[in-house]
Amino acid sequence: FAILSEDYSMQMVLKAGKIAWRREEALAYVLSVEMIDLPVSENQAKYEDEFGSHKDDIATMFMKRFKTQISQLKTYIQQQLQKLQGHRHHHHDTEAMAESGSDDDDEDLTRDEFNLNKLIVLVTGAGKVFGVRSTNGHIEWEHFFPELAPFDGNNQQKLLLFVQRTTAHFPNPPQCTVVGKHKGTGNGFLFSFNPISGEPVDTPPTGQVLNYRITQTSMLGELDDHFLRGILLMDPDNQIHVFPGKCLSVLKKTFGSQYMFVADRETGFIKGYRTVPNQGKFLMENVWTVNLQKKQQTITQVVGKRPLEQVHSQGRVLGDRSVLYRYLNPNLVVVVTEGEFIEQSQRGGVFNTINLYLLDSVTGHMVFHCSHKRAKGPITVVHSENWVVYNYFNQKSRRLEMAVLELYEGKEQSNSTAFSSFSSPRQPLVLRQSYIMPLFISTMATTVTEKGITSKQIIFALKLGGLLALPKALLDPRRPLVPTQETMEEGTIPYIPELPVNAEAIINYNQSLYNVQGIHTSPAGLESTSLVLSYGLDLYFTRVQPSKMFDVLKEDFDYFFISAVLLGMFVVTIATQKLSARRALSRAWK
Amino acid sequence: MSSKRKLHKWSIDFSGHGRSKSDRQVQVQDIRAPVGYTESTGTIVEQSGKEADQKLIDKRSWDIALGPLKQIPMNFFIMWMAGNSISIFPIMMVGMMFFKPIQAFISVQNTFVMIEGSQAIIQKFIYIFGNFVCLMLAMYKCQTMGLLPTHASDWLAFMDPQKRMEWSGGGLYY
Repeated sequence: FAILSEDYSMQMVLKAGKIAWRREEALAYVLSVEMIDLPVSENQAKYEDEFGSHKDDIATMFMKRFKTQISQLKTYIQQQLQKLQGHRHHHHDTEAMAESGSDDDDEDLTRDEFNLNKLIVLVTGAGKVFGVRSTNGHIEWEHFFPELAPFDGNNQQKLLLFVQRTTAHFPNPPQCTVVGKHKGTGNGFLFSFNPISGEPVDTPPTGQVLNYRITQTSMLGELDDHFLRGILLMDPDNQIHVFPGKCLSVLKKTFGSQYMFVADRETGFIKGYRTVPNQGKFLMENVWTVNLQKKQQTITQVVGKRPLEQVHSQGRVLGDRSVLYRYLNPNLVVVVTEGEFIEQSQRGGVFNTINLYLLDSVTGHMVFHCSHKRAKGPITVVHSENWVVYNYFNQKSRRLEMAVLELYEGKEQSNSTAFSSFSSPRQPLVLRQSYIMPLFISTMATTVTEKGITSKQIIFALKLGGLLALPKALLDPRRPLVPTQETMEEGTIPYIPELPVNAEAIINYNQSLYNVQGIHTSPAGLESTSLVLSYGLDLYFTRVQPSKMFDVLKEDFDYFFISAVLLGMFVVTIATQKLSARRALSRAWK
Repeated sequence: MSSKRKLHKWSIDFSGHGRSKSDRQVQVQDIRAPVGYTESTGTIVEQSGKEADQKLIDKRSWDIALGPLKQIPMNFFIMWMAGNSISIFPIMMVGMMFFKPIQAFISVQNTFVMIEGSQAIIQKFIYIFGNFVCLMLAMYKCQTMGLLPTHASDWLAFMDPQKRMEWSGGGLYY
């Protein structure tokens, strides 16, 4: 029998009760993805432990260092012995492995050299949470919550996954939380767990049901003493709850700089709130409202920036060696609205408009507004650093167009050390350009790296079945129509209306991906690499190197040759020195 | 042979060969010195030598002091020939031009030993000044090649990211 169960897994059960195979089809309904670093190995953990405790005096620190190094020496010798023995036993082992054919010999989850392997946490619409290895896609652990339902306002299903603590802070375990809705009551549903092992932390194994409905969520700006980032949950009475409760102290300290905003699709209002203490608890007080006329347009998307993304450079170098400073507002939010209106002409057709608003979510200030008439969705927006890339279907010329907005402060910076929305430069320069996209796309995302130094690539999921990676330099509003000496120095590509799609830019070579719902990118340990996971009907994971692999030596780097030459030169220098001294001496004695 | 020996009676044999042969010839020792002639002539010779020496020392010191200044036109020409691009030859030339004054500055004590004379201080000053001008020339060359960090874009990489003062979150109503 083939059985499809409640958690969307399909199993083939044979008559004797044995399961022949099992497929987790819940993976086709992924709603949220996060990639977590793997924990460090034991030896490295001891290193971290050393640096963690500042309270010891010199003697204990010395002993700790001594012990760590002795244990490292032991493991090293053991490894070498194993290697020597392994050569003899190697062929025996491979035969044994080929026979068993099981996949139980995955290595345990420790960080590799360049921190490229991650643990991917997938939250699916079926109420199932998976922890998947990134090396081979095997499911490490899974949890099923029959009571968990996604938030389904706005015809979109949404389940939230927050990373509260990463693996970077050694003795504290990493923690992630899934936030959703309880099926029965509509109240909030939380489940907090350790992403590496899958075990629940702070919440019961069947999840915790709250006694209020969740209207909006946000994360705290500051970490607490144990490097945990709390989650703020807002309920319909505008009261704020902090999860977990121990982060309340952080909120007490920083409530003055914590703001939230809620966009209501039904009424077309966007309301901004600030935190106000009220008898020991915290309330959200409405401080600004923006009315986007519901009669004319409906809010379809509100896109913010990725919260912990690092931006490396504060400006852009122009051809004449001056700097154009970027407008890096971390609280900027892109609101996309779609509307339609009837044209008052002979033809009198109905056509659509798209409006894009850039709002500062702390003050409500509308930084920029643009509208596209005769343009239709579905719109995908990518918002990162100081730019916004979005695409729309142009009804007049019946093609898909891609537009880019970049915000700059100008040639001088108003404040180079801190950015506050209350004293931000009033009106940033907005540079815009649009291009024609020859192929239809489902979704797009941008690559992210750890320090933001590498150039970015935008990954498009084509409806044809490929994932196209185009460099951001092609979507640059400063691309000149006519290249001059200065623009050549700056390095901008001359403007052509079409975006070039070449087969080499497709990162999934000959495999096809259809019905891609989303693409998630994550930084890796290497600065040059970004990890890409596309989910939808299938899961596809790969690594992208936008600026080629500039931080790793090539494979054919001749260590032996170079070190031999160096050593040779050194020896020759000393030898010739001695010889020449001897010769000078003998000449002096003549 | 005989014509050689046959000397006139009044000729003075300064060499002193015919001492034993004829005592008709007047000997050198018998000639008295002319009036006003003094034996000791060494002092006058010494004095003129001293003057000549002083002049020579001064001249040499001036040569050393003006040395760098004389190099400047030649360096100008070399720089103009080397060109403004960044490739091995111009960079080698600029490096050489940089190192010469720096080496001169390092070994300034040795050269100062050689500079003597009444105008020593001025000469030392001019020497240092000349080296300084050579160094400035090398810097100017760097500037025209675009190597000096004078623009804001050169310091961009060292700027720290801006600190975030307010935190905000939210989105569409759930």
